[in-house]
Amino acid sequence: MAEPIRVRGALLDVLELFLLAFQEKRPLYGWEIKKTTRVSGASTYRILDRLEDAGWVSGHWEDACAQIPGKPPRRYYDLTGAGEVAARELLAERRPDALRRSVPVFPEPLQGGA
Amino acid sequence: MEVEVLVGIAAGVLSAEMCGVFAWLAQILVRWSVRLSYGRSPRGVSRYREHIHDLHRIPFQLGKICYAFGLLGRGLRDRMLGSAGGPAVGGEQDAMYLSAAAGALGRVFAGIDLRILPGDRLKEVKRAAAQLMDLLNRPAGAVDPGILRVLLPATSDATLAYITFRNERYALQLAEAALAHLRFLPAGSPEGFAIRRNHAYALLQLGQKERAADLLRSLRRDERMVLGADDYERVETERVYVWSLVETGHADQAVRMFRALESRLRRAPEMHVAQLKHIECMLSWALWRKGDLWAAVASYDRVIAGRALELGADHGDTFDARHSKGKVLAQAGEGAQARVILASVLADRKRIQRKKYPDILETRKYLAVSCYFAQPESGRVARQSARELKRVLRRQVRTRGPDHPDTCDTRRWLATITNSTEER
Repeated sequence: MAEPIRVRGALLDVLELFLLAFQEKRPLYGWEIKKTTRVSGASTYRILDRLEDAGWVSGHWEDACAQIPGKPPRRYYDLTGAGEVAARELLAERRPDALRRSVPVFPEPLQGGA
Repeated sequence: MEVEVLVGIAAGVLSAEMCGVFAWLAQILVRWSVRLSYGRSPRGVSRYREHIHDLHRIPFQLGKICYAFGLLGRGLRDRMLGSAGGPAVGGEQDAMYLSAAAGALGRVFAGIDLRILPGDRLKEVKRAAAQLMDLLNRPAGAVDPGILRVLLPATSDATLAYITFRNERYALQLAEAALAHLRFLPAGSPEGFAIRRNHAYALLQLGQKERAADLLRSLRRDERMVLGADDYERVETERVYVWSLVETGHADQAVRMFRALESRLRRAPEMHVAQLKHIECMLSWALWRKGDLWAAVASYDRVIAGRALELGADHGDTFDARHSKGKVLAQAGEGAQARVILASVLADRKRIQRKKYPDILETRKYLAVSCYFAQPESGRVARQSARELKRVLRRQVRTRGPDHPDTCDTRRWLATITNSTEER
């Protein structure tokens, strides 16, 4: 059985970043998460373990064609649908300011329409 | 001899860097650490490849080896604890742990003064605060209301202790973690009021004045509805609210309200000594902000005499009142008087308080400012003051953050004094 998620500052930082990436429709990888959130390497992967176990994120390896020659492949992570809802709820509860600041809750209105 | 050893180590590190030994060793250490944390599971294999990717991105081989040692430390810790993240939430065993932990934490923070705690005791308290934070970080609703009733007063005491210790950011984190649980307590619980008050107080001390004033206004309204207008339980919120008025530029109104609160407490059937002392001290500052320097100084003199008599001359609160008196005089340009007071406060703080206590920097800052005002015509003194302010600013940026109100205040004084020396 998956271990329940423990909510800590580092987890909230990572979720904030995931929501931002979700908006921009791009996946994240471990090094990027670590550098952006300034969470240590071991803690970043521990958080990713928890999120994967809870079904909030899913991971996949970089396409061999897209891989830069001579560099090890990246493992990318995407927020799942359930993860997006859960992350929004958690951030709304714990960091409402951060949610307002970085992630629009409602879609932007279309430009130029009547 | 020592220099030779250092040169030897540096040469070893340099040659290892050149020969690529560290990169090879780092990969081995990463493999060990992943095995310690994950065993030989598919996830372990995946994590190993990810760490190898990350190692590739780290510049310098020394950086790679440091990263690998960090991972190894984490792996060893995981192995020793027998799990990656401690016991799972939920279940009978966890409930017993929670109940015991809450009971123990309930007694740790009551009436504690972190400013004067010996080092080993301070470490214990910090560990307890980390444990408290860990419990509060559980999902809201997962903690039994009975246990919350023990945890929340402990959190309230802890936040107040950290605000007094001038670690308002940690106090704010504790209060925010506790706030998430309040909706699982009945409306109007006194535990909830205390958390909300300290949350606003921490924000106020961090410079978020308007937001804190709004929160305190709404808390006052809720407390009035639940406790009634005349309940003495409300005094603490009232005091912090009036302080927010001073900070938001309503010193006139604050002076009136502090005086009304003071006279009400003096007529109370029970003595509220601690509250009265806080109010007297805050009133003194409000008088200065209102523009009445000598009334403020006389008021501080009364506070200092009272605190020295009742708490002792070496109590942190007595030092704070003396510091504030010196600060008021320095801000008013009465440099010679301020310099004498602040020099003696600094000597006393260094003798009694912890070396890293942030108010020591504040006293150093205002001592530098008062030296400048004592001899405003001397370019040498102005340059010395500016140098001291630069040192204080560097430390404050590092320890309190670049946007903390104290840091911003130091930056302003440094600019004032630097401009005055350049104009000469």
